[in-house]
Amino acid sequence: MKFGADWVMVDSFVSSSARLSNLLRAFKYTDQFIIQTKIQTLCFRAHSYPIEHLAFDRSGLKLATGAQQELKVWRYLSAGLPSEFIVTFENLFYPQDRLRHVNDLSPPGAASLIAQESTLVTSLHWLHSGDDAGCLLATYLYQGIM
Amino acid sequence: MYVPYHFVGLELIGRPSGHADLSPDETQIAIFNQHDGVDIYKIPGAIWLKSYHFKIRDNIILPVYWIDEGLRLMVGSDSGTVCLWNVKNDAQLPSLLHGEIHAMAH
Repeated sequence: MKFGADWVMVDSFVSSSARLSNLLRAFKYTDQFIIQTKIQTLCFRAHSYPIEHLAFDRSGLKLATGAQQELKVWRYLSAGLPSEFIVTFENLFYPQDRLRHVNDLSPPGAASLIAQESTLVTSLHWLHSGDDAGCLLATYLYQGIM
Repeated sequence: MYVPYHFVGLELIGRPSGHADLSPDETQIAIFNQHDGVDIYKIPGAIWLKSYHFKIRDNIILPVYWIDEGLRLMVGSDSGTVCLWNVKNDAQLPSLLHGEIHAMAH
């Protein structure tokens, strides 16, 4: 199976100790040699509803996720390891990179364009300039811009 | 408990806020209003600047995106076309069609 420009995924399997941990092995072919890289995905339930909006900030360290009325902020934690390393037992079962839940942002209050309508996140954006740099801009279907 | 993010403010605008996209310079936000098109607001403050209208038949949330570094606005439609506007002169550009002929070309 091929993905990306010159990467080939060889196999994938789910670890026995963590059913939601999925390991992919990939190879990149260069002119001189072959690089083997492990791509490990650790899945977890982040929301009670389908996640419809994802927004990383420009640094790639902050992630906002929106699922209907739920809005959460996560921080990306990296162990700083190089992307290419040998797959070992420890690496297999103990992923180095992860997302840490930082905060739940409450939905807007009672103010609503239409009474009794449900609260739905419709977009998420991080601001990077001006006085509001670092702020998260969220739009709600009937509650406006927060 | 330390709360690094807190509520700053809520700007209630007079129309539903469907899908929205922030302009590249982060000074404007384009919001699909589910009624007659796309509204452009200045931020912060959610000050209405202008609107681009097109016919909407179904009450579904359509995508809107700034393209060309904020020079143009691209909006999906429920009629199978992609609508484009030049934001500088507000001119509507020819729509991108998704007819059967185009579909057969793929």
